[in-house]
Amino acid sequence: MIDIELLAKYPFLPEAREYVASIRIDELFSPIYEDVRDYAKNWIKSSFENIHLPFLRGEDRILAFYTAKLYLIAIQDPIVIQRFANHFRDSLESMLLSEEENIVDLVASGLGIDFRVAGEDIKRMNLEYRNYLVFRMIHFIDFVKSASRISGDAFRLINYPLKDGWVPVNKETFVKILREAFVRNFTREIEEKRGDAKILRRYVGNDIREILEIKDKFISRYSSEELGAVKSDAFPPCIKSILVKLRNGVNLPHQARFFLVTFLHRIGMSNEDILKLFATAPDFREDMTRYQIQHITGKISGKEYEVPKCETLRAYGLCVRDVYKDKLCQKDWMTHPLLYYKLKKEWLSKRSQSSE
Amino acid sequence: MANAEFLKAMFREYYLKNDVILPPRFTKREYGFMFFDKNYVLRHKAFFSKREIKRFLVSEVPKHAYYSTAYYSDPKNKDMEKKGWLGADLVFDLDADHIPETEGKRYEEMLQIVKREAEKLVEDYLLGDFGFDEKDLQIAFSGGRGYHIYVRSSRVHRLGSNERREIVSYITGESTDIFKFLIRREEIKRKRKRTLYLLYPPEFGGWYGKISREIVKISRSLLSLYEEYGKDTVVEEFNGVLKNKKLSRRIVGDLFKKTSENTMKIEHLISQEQSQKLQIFETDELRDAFLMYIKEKIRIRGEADEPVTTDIHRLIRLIGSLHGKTGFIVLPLTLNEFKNFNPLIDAIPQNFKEGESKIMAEKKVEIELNGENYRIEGEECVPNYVAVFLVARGMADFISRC
Repeated sequence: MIDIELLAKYPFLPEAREYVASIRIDELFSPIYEDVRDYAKNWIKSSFENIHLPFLRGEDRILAFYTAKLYLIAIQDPIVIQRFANHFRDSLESMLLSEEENIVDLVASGLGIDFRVAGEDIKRMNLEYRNYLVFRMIHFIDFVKSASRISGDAFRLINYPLKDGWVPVNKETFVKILREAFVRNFTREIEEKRGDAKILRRYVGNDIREILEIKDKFISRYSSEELGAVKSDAFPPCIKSILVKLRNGVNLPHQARFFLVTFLHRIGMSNEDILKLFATAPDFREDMTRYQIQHITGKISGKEYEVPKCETLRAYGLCVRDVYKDKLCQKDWMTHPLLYYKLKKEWLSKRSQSSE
Repeated sequence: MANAEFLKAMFREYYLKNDVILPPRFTKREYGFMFFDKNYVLRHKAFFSKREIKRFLVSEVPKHAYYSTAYYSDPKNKDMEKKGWLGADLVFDLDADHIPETEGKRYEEMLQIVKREAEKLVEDYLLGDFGFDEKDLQIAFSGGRGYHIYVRSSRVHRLGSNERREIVSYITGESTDIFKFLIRREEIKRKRKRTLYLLYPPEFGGWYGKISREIVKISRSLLSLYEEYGKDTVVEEFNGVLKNKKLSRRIVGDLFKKTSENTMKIEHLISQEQSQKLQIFETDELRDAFLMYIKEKIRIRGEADEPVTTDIHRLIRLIGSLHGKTGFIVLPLTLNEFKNFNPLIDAIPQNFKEGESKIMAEKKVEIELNGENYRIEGEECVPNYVAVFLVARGMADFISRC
């Protein structure tokens, strides 16, 4: 029997399941568990704000983790899922680093990692020649599954004295492998349960909205440093369509101009360059346009306007999702033009790397 | 046209008399084909029974037949996203194109060199470092200039591209500095600083011990090459890898020079069971070039084909089918069969060994097939396997049956 405080720290372990198995969904979403739900919701929201909530103890934390998982299953939004998983991953790593060996082993087994204790000769040789304190041996397939997600020499298979499929690693590396295994298992589980999303949504209703709003806020604050150099190939179809109209001398409604300016400003285009784009507009007046751009981008007002999310664009009639049938736009979780831009840009650069 | 018809007839007979070997979960795979008389590539084909595949092969007689290393929930769906990727074999494709020593070599010699590369992959890496079980491996002669090696353990099926790339980097040693696997020591001698490199114990895992073991093994084969064929052959061997004749000559000069104890330096590399042996070289430059040669000999050369291993949607030749540019069988081999395998005898279909055809070779060709040497110029009646091989390779034209 594993101590409940231990399971509270590692609520993803299979042994934690018996604490939640007897609770029915309608109970969990009844007033009795309101505090647990609040915590779960804030837990997910906190992952976008990089704050750590006060640590819950015992059964409550196991329940809150379970509830958070239900929210994520209902939402099925890869950004939110990844964000929460990474947030949890970081605290998991720091907890594991200070644990005794037997606890680390327990968590490793719970995560399905194939590992074994290193023999004395391997420990001695690695210490003598590589100045390396071997903690455990991981099967190389489990090693690469996690290590391929981490950069740095310590995670490249070739740097290890691999023998018969076993990779000797130190405690820091072992813990990082576990940490990534958690993310992998967790996100996979949520994806696999997407069939349950519909039923769950009946219970979670407004709580989901709150979480998604935090996500959109977070995305609208992507800084131009995060987004890197301007790459017009990665523009979402709504922006491309506005640019085409502009170039063809179509007179744009105010909302379209506003959206275009906030978007281009946020991805790092200079005000001068934005101004040049407007020069083809039929009613172009340089002084007016310059003033408006400076206003929207915060140069005059001191208030930097946020890029509107997809929902707002739809309300303004600027969303072209149903016209262009863009695959990325069709995704349920595509909620913000900046998210589109960021993902498309990453995808384009990956593609150009692999074709070189 | 006569050429294509001849090949098609020969291939049809083969497919009538022989069965291809279907991969595990064959109904979940995508199949692809190229034909003698059509220009397109047929993809996204799926089969639900062995008989269905047999019928297709006999009636359509493809020039090349492929299947996906991946399996899908809906293999015939043309939309990759909707195909529903379920997993994929881990596949290594070794081809003469990526091994510099094969340059300018005859087909037979080329195949020998690729075979050694495949042996190295199987024994040193897959069964050695990675600890896979022999029963998880499937080897196949590609029918052309190489070998396909499959790992079909349930452990590897779900690996994604990035994870496969990690495995590929390990076996190709790509962009890896070999000095990383040596022990670096700074030494000051007569006020001059020098960097020494010591070897790890041979029993050490990974590339660390591999370098120590391979220096002994490779030096031994260099010495026997020297004793059997002389210095120039050894220079050629180095030059084949290093592509630098002058440097190759200098290394050989240094390695085979007699030392004060009347032994050659290379004998130190073979015999000394100590970590200091890299200090025997005349200069650091020669040592580094020698290490570069060793690295090339240790690693699996196949970078250009890296996609085969990392592309989890790739098509690969169907085992038991015929290669349209040689007429050889894409032949499955156990590890034991592989060791004694001679593609130029063993990959010839039985029905090609019966009957003769008259062909016309404009340029003189020499080829060793089925254990016999053939020298053909002009019109000549030859066994069908010779006719198929030369016609398929575009080195002769089919005239008539004899």
